[in-house]
Amino acid sequence: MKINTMYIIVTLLLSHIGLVSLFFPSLVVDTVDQGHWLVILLWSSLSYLIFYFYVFGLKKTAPHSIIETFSQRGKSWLYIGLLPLFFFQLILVVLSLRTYSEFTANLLLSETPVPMAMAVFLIPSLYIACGSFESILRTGFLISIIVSPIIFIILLFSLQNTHWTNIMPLSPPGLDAIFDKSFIDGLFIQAPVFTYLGFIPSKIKYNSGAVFYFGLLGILFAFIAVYIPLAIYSQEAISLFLFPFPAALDTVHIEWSVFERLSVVFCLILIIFAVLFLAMTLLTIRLLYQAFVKAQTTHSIIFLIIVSICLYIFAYLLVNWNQVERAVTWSTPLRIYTFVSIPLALYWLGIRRKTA
Amino acid sequence: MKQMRLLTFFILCSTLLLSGCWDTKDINHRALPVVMGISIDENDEYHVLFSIPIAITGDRRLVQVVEEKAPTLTRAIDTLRVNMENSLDLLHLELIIFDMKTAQKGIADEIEAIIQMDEFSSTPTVAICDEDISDFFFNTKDSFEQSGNPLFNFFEKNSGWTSYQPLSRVWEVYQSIHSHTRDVTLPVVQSSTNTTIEYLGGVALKQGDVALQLEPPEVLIYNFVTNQSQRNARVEIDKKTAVFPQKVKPTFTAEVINGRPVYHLNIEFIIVVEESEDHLSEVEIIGRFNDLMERRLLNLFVKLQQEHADVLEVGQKFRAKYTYHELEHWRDELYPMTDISVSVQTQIRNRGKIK
Repeated sequence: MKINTMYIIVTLLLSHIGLVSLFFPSLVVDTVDQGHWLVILLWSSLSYLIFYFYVFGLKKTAPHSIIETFSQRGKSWLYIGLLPLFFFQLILVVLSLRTYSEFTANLLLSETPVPMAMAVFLIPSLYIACGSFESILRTGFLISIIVSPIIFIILLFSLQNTHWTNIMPLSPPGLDAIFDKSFIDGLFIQAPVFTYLGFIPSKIKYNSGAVFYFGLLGILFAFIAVYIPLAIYSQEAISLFLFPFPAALDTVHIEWSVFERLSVVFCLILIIFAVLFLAMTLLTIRLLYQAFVKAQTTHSIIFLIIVSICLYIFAYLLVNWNQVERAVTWSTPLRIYTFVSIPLALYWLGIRRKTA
Repeated sequence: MKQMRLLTFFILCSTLLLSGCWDTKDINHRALPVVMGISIDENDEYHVLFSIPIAITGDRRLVQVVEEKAPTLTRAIDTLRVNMENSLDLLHLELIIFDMKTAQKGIADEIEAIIQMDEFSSTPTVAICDEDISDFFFNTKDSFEQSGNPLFNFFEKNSGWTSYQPLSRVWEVYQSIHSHTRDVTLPVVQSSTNTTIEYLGGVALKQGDVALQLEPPEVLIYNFVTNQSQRNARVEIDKKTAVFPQKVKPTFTAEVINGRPVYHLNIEFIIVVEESEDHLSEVEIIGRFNDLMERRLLNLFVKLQQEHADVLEVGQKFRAKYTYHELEHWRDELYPMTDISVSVQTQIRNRGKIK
């Protein structure tokens, strides 16, 4: 396997873990109260279907990145195709900034003001986003070498308190769950993780098939993130927690460990992932802007700094958690539109180019 | 070169962020309580106590007991925090003790509050003391200062815990308060002059309310059924014969027949016999032991069913048989009408060190 392919897979999986272990479990338990596997499977398979079109669409349009492919078809394609993505990425930065800082304040820094926690996330990711794509990929790989044994050990320890009968009843929920608001909220929730693949500069060559099939491991993480808290607390109690997965890790009791609270270690690892994920999102915003106004790198960096300050203020204006949840709901139509239209359009362009 | 210097300067500046200025409190400015006591007195006021070990000076071990009364739990903790010279750090709490009167009124609200507050971890053990809570704290303080055995070791699986004691942590109690199908047991203790504390038995909780008091042998049965690891638990068959279960393997069948839950529990024991006089044959020992176990098991099941407290985890086995909404009625409708039967199988491994 080429080293670039490995970098890309590792970064993909890391950001997937970061996303799935925070948002995902509480969305699942809010949607259904039995047969959670069905919802996870539905969401994941939809996300991965789109992922399939995206990855292989990119392969067919190679060696160009998504921006080059769209701008080759003309200005209208560029704006209609990628402007929704641009706006979605902006919202995504606000939401994840707010979620990660809330999570940190919840677990680790109970007295630190939230704006400061947000700044701690934003400043390093902004710094990374001013660099190149390769540096992000290399950082991701380096981080994974350091944290993957720790993550593995944490997952192993989290099995300490599981009572597997708690995950019952497994029988699928009624059809009405699919029309539930929270089910719609969770559609394509995993998709933002894949976005960055389209922005990888064409000089970096990678194996699309390997990226897709290893990317499927993300489904496994989705199952772990839901079923470990469920097996520990059961649906009745887990639906009351804001962040079920860290709450489940908090039950682990090891006398001899230096880190008495495993959830804190896990939280620290998540912060690393979060910074990486934010950096990637900010970088895509910068690259999109560069394509829209045909700007120089320095120009786009200045733009990115100004935008980050605006996003920081927006995130600060979301005072309570309800507003964050409402913002997730508001952004859902945009998310669904973005992640259905872009991969399908890309795939279609790819097919057309092959036949032409 | 100039750029490099500038960069290095900025990188060095970023280390200033590492101090996390808002949350730094040096260890010598922190008070780290290990035991917390909660009681509600006659005037409906919360009485909160903390037992805080103080750094050893010379040969002396010291414990500081602080207490406060307030209308709410949080206000009591906050008042203590204001009055104390050090900052109160509750993260390392090992044991939370309620007194019996409070427990009988129900501890659901308090457990809920503890889980909700950031500053508590969810792993302290929960116990009940059957005496005035101040007496308990000051007596255990005295005996600690004399002997040096910390109180919470009594409940730790890697030190003082035996199979006669129940062991439930805060998160388990919280889970049981909300769970449709699972209840927990808590140990009941009191202070003693002989050892630091004396174990009296257990209580079965039903969603945070005390439903039934359990004798130590009943708790032993509970630990057998819920398959806790076995430690130092002997069962006496008669005055001269004791049996030491080495391996306990409970298996279950749970079925719904004509809308009625039918539950069968089978426990396989592998035992070591310890007798002072060789007067019983192996068949007799097995027969008596099986009889004794079956009788105690059925007795316990009947008592618990009457109180609607499902500490023996019958409901857990039926989770797969019902829908989530049917399980909401488990404790009050389905569990009392469950048909429960038990059987016990025993094998003797050896007779200790003597042939």
